[in-house]
Formats: sequence, C-alpha cells, structure tokens
Amino acid sequence: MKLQKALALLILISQLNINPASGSEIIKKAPEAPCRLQINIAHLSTNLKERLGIRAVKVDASSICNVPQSDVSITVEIWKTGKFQDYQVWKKTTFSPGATQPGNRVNNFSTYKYCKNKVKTSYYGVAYSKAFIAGKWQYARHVLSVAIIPLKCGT
Amino acid sequence: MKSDEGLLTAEQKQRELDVIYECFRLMQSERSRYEKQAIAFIDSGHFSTETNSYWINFSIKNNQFACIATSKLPDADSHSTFAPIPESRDKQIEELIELFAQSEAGLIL
Repeated sequence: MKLQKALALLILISQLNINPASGSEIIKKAPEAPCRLQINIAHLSTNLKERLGIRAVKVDASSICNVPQSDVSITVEIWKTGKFQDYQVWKKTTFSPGATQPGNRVNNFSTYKYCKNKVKTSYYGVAYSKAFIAGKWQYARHVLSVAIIPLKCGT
Repeated sequence: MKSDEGLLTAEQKQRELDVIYECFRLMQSERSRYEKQAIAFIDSGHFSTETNSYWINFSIKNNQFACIATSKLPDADSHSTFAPIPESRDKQIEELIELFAQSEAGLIL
C-alpha cells in the first residue's frame, strides 16, 4: 500500500515537472515570427521533364512577412547525400532591393542544376534569408526540405 | 505535398520552363564561347561579362566558383551563384559552362 502511494506521488510530481505551466494562469506564448520562409522538396520539374525532356534537380523557396520588409535576400542550397558526408551541389542567393509590402512574397525559384545522367541520388534543400525589418536586419534560420527524395539525377 | 507543386503559380511555371530551356539551349549553342571563357577563367581566376540586364563577375570564393550578377537597374533583383570546384580540369570546364549559361538565362521570378 505504501509502495502504491509512493508511486502515485512520484507520478504526480513528474507530471508537475513536465508541465510547469499547469495550474497557472501565466502561460507565456513565444512571440510569433513576423516572417515565414518556406522551402519545397528537391525535385525534378515534371514540367521540364514531360514537355522538353530536360532533367534538372530544383529547390524553391519563398518568404512571406506580415510586416513591411526591404532588401530581402534568400539563399537556397541544393545538397546530395553521400556515404560519409553530404555534398553541396549548387547555391543561389537572390537579392530583392526596395520595399516589399506585408503579405507579398519574395521568391528564390532559380536554384537548379542539370542532371548529367540518371544515377539515383538523394537530394535535399536548405534555405535561409535576411531582410531589413523595422529598422534592423532580421535573419531567418536555416530551413530544410521536409524529405530527402532519391531522384534519377546524377550531378 | 507533391514535390514540385505548391510554391509556383502557373505563370511562374511557364517562366521556369522558359528560363531552364534557355539555359539548356545556351549550354549547347554557346558551348564553344563558354569553353574559351572557362579556360580564361581557370587560368586567371577571374572573368567579367555583361548582358542587357546584368554586370556579371566570376571569381573563386571560399574554394567555390562564384558568380555575382548585379542588375543594371537599381530596383531589379540581383543574384549570386556558388558551385563547388571539381578536381579535374574537364569537370571544372563543364561546371563553368553551366554557371555561364545559368547567369545569362536569367531568373525565374
């Protein structure tokens, strides 16, 4: 019986520790980031492959803010996986001078690399950005593609 | 999410097709010019050119081929591209041919 009570007490204490805000009115929410950087999965454009027979691996990224921003640069890197380490294949930064209104997107849709052959290779993308917002430079952390997809594309 | 859908509008997909096709076309039709440029670049470590819209500088930065394209119009987008340097001279030339072609093909906006 004593053991059961001790166990119940232990469970209660551990639950309190896991959720320190439980039972409290003060729940601090992290401030919402003013900008969102999106990146898609490294892919072979079906459009290119089907209509022109050209194979190229491509990664797209796009930034959208709920505040005005200016001098936005977005960098996209294409990486391929290796046995012992990953390799950067291509990296492109686009720089958009001037102001961008809230809700308008700034894009980097120009990062691609031609496939030399059809060797199955796994690729992923990494994106990061920089913009002048509310009088100071803001940096978006590195965002990775949600999946690493093997493509019939040797580079 | 289907891998190549979601971020681009239909209009941007058409632009993607046009730009990448133009790059592919340049890699073939301008191959001889690009090979000469690549050899000049490998020997000197620097090469500059311009298109109607950009001043383009090629150099080696952080052990990578670097291409910095600066717009001639103050409000237009600029871009820079970095590519790893392959070990063999032949592969370096091939990498530079694509870099030259991409820089002249323009951006997918």
